[in-house]
Amino acid sequence: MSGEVIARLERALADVDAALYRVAQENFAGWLTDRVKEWSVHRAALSRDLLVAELGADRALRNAGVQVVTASHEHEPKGAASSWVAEAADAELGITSALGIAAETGTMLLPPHEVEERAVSLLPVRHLCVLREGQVVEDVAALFRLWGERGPVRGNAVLVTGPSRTADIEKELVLGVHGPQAVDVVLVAPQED
Amino acid sequence: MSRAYPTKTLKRAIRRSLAARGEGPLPWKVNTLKALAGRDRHAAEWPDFERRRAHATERRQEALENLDALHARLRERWAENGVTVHEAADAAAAREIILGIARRAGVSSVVKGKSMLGEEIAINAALEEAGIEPVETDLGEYIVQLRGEPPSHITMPGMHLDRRDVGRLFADELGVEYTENPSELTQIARRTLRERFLAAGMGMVGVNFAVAETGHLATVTNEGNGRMVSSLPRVVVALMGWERVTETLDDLALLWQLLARSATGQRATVYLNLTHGPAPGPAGPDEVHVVVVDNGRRRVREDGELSEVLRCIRCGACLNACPVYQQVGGHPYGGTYPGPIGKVVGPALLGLEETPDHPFASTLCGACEEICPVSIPLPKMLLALRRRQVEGRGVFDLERTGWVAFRHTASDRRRWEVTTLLGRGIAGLWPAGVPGWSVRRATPSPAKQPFRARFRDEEAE
Repeated sequence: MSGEVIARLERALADVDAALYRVAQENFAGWLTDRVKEWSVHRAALSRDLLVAELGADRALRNAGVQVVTASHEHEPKGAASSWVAEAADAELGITSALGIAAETGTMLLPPHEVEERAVSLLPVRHLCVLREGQVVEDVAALFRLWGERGPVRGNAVLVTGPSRTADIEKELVLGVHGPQAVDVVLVAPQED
Repeated sequence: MSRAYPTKTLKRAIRRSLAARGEGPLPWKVNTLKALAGRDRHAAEWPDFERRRAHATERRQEALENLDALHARLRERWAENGVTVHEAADAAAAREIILGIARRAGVSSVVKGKSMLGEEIAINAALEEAGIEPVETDLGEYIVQLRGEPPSHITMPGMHLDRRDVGRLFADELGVEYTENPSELTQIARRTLRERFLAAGMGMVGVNFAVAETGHLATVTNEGNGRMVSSLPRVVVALMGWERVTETLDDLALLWQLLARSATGQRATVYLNLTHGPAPGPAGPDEVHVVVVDNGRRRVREDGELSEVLRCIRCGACLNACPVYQQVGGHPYGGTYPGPIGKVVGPALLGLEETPDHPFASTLCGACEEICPVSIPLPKMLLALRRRQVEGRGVFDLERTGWVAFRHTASDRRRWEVTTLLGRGIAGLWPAGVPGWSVRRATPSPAKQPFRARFRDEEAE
């Protein structure tokens, strides 16, 4: 992935008050441990994305003394009052991956999950999204094409561009209205062979 | 739009708004200028902005022309996706449908994302009457709801308020300590509304676009309330105008970015929610309903002079650009849609009898057409509406008669000289001046000698 495209992505993310980090796979656990201390995280919600598991986020968090919640299939009552949603709502950090991210705007496409995990990227105060460098595409149209390449385009998805914001009071920008107050994107560098 | 438009309302309200703000710059003027600056910055970033705009215009127009075919495709997708479809011919039907869904779901409150169509069909009042509490979750909408007012702008509902207004409002209505810091005020709203989100049995969102190729219902927000409302409650209702269909996700990508740039000067809104249907899993809707509302739109599509107004993507850029709107804000227009787009949509959907002042509340400067991302020719439509207004008037209409008399008099020199001579004589006998007009204005006195006589005399010298 060209350095120029990644630089563009970084600028686009900065414009929407989101940060970009580039972390080698083998350093991720250490990097995350430093972050949870910096961000005072006591509870984190994780999605079931493969990349999140591959990076060892669960173990790194538990070792750092963070309580980890993950959505589970079993015996959950349906609806907003479900305990899973209540737990995610109390977390300071939510970690997901994404289908891809667009360099032009900093937009990531969070695809549908078999288990409803939209809460992970929506309710906690911070949202951390981990992606491989190869998942950076040019623009939003390219994101939709990428989605189409994976199979039939169905399911409840969301495109996210930075943290939740409003300017409804005197056009003054405030972050963190109903969604996360902070969004961080980690591009995982290809593993050294 | 459920309220009638009294003829004098617009004029009275404009006078009142100008008087109300005694000091300082008008908040809506300041806010529209900030929105415009953002829009220009991001429009400039696309070197081929005009090409994209032309493409979007074309795609919207094509969609309007193929609306029935696109709707057929949508229905197929919705059936596959488990979405329950309801057709509403008008506002009353839409209200009945939504109340029916809410009653069957047995809910006591509905959390709502921002929807101009929701305003148009006056759903909040209907819900309240049925004993169901509508909770606005968009910060601006929440604020005006607490104040008991309608929104004054399409994308920035609280455009007419400043931080002190909001601070006082929260202190009075929510019992919190007074603050005018926007960040603190937002945190207060976040906490209060999150409780409502997590407890709500039903959510209602507007639909910015329905995508025919996949059946997705696209909802756009910056705050995240659209996501909350469409993914947490057990029952979700999506409220959609009949004309808000686009064919492909590619179209959606373009229209979404144009909407963001034109409305709020962003490259993209923070969230673009794509609701597909009911979701399996521990959280998320069991039922997804879409209510497709006509309320005059089909009739407008058949109207040769006005049909292009259906291309509108509700960005609000025309409001920001309009010199009339910049002076008076949104409330004086009355009804749901303010600004240039409202001046056409109001008469188009409600009829000119209900909105006789709208086409005339314009300087025809054309700023709205210039800024419109889908090139809607609003000035041309305003002129057409003015013409219809005048044509609709009877033979005994005073203004029409006056124009006919003027044309008759002014088209012949002799008639003109005789009439003005008589007029000068009569004006001399009537020092009180013209009724109504002269109450607050000095009545000009006619010249002793008409100009043509003076000219003739001076030429002779």
